Amino acid sequence: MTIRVLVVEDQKTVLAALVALLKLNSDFEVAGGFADAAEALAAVPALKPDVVVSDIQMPGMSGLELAQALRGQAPNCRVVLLSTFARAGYVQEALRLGIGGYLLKDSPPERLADGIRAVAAGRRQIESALLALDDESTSLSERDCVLLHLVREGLSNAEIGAALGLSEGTVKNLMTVLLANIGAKNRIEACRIAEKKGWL
Amino acid sequence: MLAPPSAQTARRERQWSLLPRRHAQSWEIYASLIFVLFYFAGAPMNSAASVAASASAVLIFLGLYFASYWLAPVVATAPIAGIAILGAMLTPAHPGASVFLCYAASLACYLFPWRYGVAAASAALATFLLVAGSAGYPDSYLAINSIVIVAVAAIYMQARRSAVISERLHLREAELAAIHRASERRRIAHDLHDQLGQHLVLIALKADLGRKQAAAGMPGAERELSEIGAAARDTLNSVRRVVSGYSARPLLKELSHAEEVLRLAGVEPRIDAQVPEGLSERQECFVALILREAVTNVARHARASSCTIRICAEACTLVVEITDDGRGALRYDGFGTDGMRERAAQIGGKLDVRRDKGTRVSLRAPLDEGA
Repeated sequence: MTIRVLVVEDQKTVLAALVALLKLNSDFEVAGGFADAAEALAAVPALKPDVVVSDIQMPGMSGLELAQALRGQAPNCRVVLLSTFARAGYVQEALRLGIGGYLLKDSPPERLADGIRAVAAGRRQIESALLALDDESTSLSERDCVLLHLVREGLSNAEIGAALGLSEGTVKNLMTVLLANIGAKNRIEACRIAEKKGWL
Repeated sequence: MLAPPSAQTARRERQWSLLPRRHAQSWEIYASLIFVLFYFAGAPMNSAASVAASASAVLIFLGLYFASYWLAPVVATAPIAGIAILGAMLTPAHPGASVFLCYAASLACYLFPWRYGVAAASAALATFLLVAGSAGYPDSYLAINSIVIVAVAAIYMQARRSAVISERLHLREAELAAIHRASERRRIAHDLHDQLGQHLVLIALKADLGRKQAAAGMPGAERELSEIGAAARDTLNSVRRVVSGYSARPLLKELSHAEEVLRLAGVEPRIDAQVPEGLSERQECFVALILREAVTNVARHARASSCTIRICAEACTLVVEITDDGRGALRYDGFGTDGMRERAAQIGGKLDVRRDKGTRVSLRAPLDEGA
């Protein structure tokens, strides 16, 4: 089964390199490459991609806006956002929009390809290096917010580990610290507290 | 009795002081103790007992004097009242004791907001007139001492005002510096993201692409390699631009800083600056430092209403003049003038400080160096 991929990146040289890299994978079919998110959005109905891989910060329509529009217009199309730097709030906004992947733009090509495959199969892929160290809007770290998001979606520790590229044991440890931090007895209570306080 | 020098040595060596930290630099607080000598003028000293009594009165006074600097303003009323009571009790016995009432008035005026200061000084004056009047002292003594109490109160009220202003200015400067640092950090982060991040992403992706193409025996690897080289050079150029953006023209940056500092101090800045092109980076740095020092002095000490900064080139000489219309500050020397002179000499220049109605700091330095 081939995965139809559409690439959106405003810097044309980077776009060309990304397209060329993805084309080297025999199970990918690059349906198109666009330097403008609005043009890409307009082309989606005709090109019918399985996954849209998009830069997050672009002039005009941003990757987040594109993801939001796609959720309404092409709910079966999954989205992988690419970013170079961590920026507080982006990953949470992306999760809220239900995006499948949030990866480093300079990920090794194998990591990028694997991420796209996982997202095409309906799994989550989030690069931990892109989680901001501190987020002023909540008293939780961005990593904790992402953990809670994934818990709320019903993922097990093992599945969360797979999504974040961490081992199950690491996720277990992080979860214990997180529960103690917000004073929750278990994962479900933690989600309830975080929702009530507006952290999610 | 503890003399000022020994007290100061103690502070340096053992972090121990007679005064709390916020007053620690105020040597005037020690110096004004010299007026205690007035107490001994005419104090009964004819017997061992009377000497002991006089000495213990002074020791009690010293305790209360330093206590009033340590306590919060409201609580400090107690030791100040104590000093006044000491004065009121001893004045009938000998005239020099009225100096304690002067101290009470001056302490209140220095430590309390002016309304309370005025109230306390008036109370001290009234107490003095009552006590000394009923003790039958001559009118001339009453008049002279009253004038002294009023004058001392006024002087310390003014001293409080300058201390408050200088502290406020200090806080604002710190605030301004913090804002500058924060905006500089934002600028660096922004430039790193926009210029370097994008280039490095491209280099990483092209390296991956070239590697894969070469491994698969596909054409194109050579092209990717040459493009990586070009991208790396582009990146270096951006780094050069970013770095030079930070270090370029320190004098222009200092001028805008000077403008802000003067405004904050309520001094109208008048800037007439044409920074000559032939200025070397080193010269510019030194001139910027001199400008900062001079402007800080104007803001802090000159009580000026306006300050003119003129920078221009006359023939092959750089001329920088900072002129204010302030009080031609008496206390100007020692406020960094030596440092300014030294910096001027470093760039082969000469610094001249002239006080007339205001103060004019002028720097003349040869322009040919490094041009």
